[in-house]
Amino acid sequence: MRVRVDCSICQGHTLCNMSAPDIFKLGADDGHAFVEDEHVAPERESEVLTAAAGCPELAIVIDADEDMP
Amino acid sequence: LPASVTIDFLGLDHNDLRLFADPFHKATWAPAGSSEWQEAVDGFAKIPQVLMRTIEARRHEPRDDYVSQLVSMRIDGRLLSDDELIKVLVQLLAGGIDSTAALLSCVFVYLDEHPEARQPLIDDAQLLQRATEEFVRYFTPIQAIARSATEDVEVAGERIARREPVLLSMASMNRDQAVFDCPDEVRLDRCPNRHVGFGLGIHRCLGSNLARAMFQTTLVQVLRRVSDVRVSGAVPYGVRSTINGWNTIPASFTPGPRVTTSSRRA
Repeated sequence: MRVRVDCSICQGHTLCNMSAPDIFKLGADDGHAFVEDEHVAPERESEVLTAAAGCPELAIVIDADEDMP
Repeated sequence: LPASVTIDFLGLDHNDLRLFADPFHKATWAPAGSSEWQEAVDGFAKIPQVLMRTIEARRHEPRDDYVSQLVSMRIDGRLLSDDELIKVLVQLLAGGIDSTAALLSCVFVYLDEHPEARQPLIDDAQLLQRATEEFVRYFTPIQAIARSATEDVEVAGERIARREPVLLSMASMNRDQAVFDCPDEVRLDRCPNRHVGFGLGIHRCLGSNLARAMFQTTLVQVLRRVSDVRVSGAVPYGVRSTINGWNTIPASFTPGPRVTTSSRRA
């Protein structure tokens, strides 16, 4: 699984950061979310899905088919 | 209207609407020491016991509302105390009751001065969405918010010690020339528009999407119904307020046909 935050949609609610703070980081300037490493380990997938489901703007984009290299 | 929606959403008693709304409205504009200010202070003192009635009732018989969720949720395995529940609910009331109403008031006054903008906002859904963000940016209903520094920091050469209070001006940030082209101009179709009108970080506005929906629905319904509305003698909130809004907006208009909905509240 791969994940990213569409920064044109993100409004900075920060809920994804509460679900998985080490995956979804917050920009120092304006608190909007970003993903540093888009590859998600299999055991972390459920956290990422929870974060995506909880995003009020649906800004979290998941590519489920793409496995880690 | 925003007060009514907030009270519905939280699950509080509609009969208490004025009891909740009046202190918050008065506190936004009444000068300290005035009789209205004293009424707001007295009103705030009554709110906790009224909230406790609903809290107790939902503990015994939960409903599909926010209070029921709050009384049953656990943080680190424990339920919230009465004191914590009241603080959370008062915070949500404060956020819901005045800010969207303040934005609506600013925009009604703006549209009185710019009547040519009315019809495009009714006709063009995308313009309405972009204009909503632009109005939140330009008017910034919550102008500033108080915070305490969690650690020693230096910002633009200014040292701020841990626990020192700071007042963050969203109004100023939303007019930042480095971010916004011609920041002192209202551009209804401004895009992108990364304003900070709803705050930043983990305490960012919880109700921003509810606020947008309330604002857009109210604005379009009013503009459709009373297309010739004219404002005269509007009174702004006083200078001490951190809320940017109008206290009263006397308006005259020709009533349009009555519009009813299936779920009209008495």
